[in-house]
Amino acid sequence: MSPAIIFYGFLVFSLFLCIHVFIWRIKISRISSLVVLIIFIVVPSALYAVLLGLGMAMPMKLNAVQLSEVYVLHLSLSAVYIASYPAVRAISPTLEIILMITAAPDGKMTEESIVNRFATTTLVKARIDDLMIYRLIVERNGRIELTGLARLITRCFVLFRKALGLPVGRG
Amino acid sequence: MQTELIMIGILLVSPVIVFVGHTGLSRIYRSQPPQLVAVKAIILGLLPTGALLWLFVFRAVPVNAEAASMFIYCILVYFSLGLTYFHFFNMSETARRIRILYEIEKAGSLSPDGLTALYKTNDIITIRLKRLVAIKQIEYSGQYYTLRGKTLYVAALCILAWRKILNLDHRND
Repeated sequence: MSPAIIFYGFLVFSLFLCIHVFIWRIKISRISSLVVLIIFIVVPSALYAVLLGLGMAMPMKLNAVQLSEVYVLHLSLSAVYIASYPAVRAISPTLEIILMITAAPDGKMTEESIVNRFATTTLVKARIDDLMIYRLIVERNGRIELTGLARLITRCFVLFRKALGLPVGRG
Repeated sequence: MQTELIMIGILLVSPVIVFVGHTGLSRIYRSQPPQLVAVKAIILGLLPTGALLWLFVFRAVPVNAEAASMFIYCILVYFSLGLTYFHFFNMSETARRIRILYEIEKAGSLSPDGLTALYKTNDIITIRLKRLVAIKQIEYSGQYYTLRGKTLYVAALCILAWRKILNLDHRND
């Protein structure tokens, strides 16, 4: 394998990262996680399929196997970014706690003062709103229900935890 | 060429290898922080993945600069996919949205107040404080929590910086 493959893989990932930053600085979509998926996975996959299907040599003069290697490296780097993006999109309470403690006078806080800094509206309601935007939950007659897709996602996670011999995560 | 396709195939399957190892480790190391066990699974997964890569790829490749590139490529892809697996596992362990979906599925349906009552602010924060103590990022002494490890603190700073670049700073959507 030519060392250039690794360079091209990072180059492609960096290119889509720049596109992501450019779009975000113009307008941030309410379904930003889905847009991240489209930028990093859907668009590059479509480009890869077209280039492969047409048997076209990339500007970098790669054959099909080399193109696949670049694509897989880009996918791997993208997978990490996509998996990390929720923590960027809405700072997790865990990281907020750490920042809070570090910023506190003398760098220490009691549990009560930490809890008081969080409102239930931020911790739970914001997540409920999120799930509604992505149509994973719907409100019917004053009650919240899962959509079909949400049921599938939930069952996958439950099965995953069962396979690991672990109870469902406490959140 | 065929060797490189086999290499890609083994790397793409490596998260499954990690998962299989994780199913055993999570039962053996029940008392350890789950995130630490997941990291162990990723590191240990190097053994079977490395063995497969050696048997089907590297054994036939002469030792030269191209083989070194292949090795670096394998490390990059393996750990990228491994880190993705870790994030997926951590989501199953800590994500509020997953917990909310699970609670609703268990109950069939819930009122918004019912959901908030099940999943209280106190519980959310207490769980996280216990986790942070368990993974040695904070310590509890004399009724106060203080910073201990720097890993998550550095991660938090990086995230804040990246949020500024993405212009997310003015909102927490």
